[in-house]
Amino acid sequence: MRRFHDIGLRYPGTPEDARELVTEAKRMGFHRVCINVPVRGKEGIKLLKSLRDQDLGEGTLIGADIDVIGGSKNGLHNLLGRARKLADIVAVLGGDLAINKYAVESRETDVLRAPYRGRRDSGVDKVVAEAAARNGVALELSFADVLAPNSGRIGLLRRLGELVEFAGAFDTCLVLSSGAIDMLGLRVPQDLAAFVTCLGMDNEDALEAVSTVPGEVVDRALERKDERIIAPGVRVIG
Amino acid sequence: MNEKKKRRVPAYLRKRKRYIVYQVWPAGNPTPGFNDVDRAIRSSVRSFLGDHGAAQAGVWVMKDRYDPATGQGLVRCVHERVDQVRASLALVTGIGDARVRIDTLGVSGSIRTAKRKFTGDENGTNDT
Repeated sequence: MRRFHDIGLRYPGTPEDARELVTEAKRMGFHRVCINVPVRGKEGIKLLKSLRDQDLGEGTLIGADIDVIGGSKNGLHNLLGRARKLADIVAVLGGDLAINKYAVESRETDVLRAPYRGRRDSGVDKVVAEAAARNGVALELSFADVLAPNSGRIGLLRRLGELVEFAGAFDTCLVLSSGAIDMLGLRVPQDLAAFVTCLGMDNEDALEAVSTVPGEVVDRALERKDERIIAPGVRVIG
Repeated sequence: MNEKKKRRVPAYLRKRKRYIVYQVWPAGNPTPGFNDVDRAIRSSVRSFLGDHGAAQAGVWVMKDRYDPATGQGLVRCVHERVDQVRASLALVTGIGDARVRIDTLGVSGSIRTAKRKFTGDENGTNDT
């Protein structure tokens, strides 16, 4: 049986609301979800630390959503290092081509979120797609961007189609998420898959983008936290 | 006088249909009426698929199958366009002034099975 995962939920502001969001997501058929905390500086890191002690429900992961648009690569490097120690999953909010490239080249990144943000193209070229595939960084497509008012949906659909095409051509992992910040932003996993099918992905790949692929991202990220694992493929036994 | 006998469309010319069971969420007070739901779904389908796509999808929001108490209802469409109609339902964000979402509960080939499998009507014969 297929297990669905949504690794793109956004932190609604309070732990109570986060718990409600997680409960609703579970009711809708998600097995594991990840609540992402926006990290732009020290405040985000503090919030990340405080959330680690909270119980947000079984199977709930805490993610860091690093946003350095207009910032420097050094800033991104620092935040990635600090967030990696605290969060289960580290995502970089894309948009700037230089940031997109740096994020997919870094070993600390799990997900490059919305590389098309604020751009007129998908934010992914051959270099980014190949690097993402090589380093196991998943590209994430957020349904919340499509639902946002004044998102310029026609252009956005074109950019998302381009992203799907690049991911298919270079065997890059593509993850689908609702990007919900409240319960009305959540969508049933099969509906998310149906949406990407309309962008040109085939049905089976679309379903994998909400189940197997995010599941692997989560497993890989959790594996990194395991102290017995020294390097990829090297584990202390006994 | 011999009246011409009305002929049915032969099976090979008939479009295969699918029934999508949806639920408007949050259900409860005040529940949106059928006309509002119908307008929201049609508008979303038309905006996402365009006039041509909407025509090809053959979407019909079924009035007699909408239950205002639970917010559940049926949409009929052509079987090749199920994914597009599902995506259109997912793109609905509001009905009137209220923020809502429309969840798809399931897809079936007949009304009876749709009701039996997804709305808890054991025989699938209950009309509402």
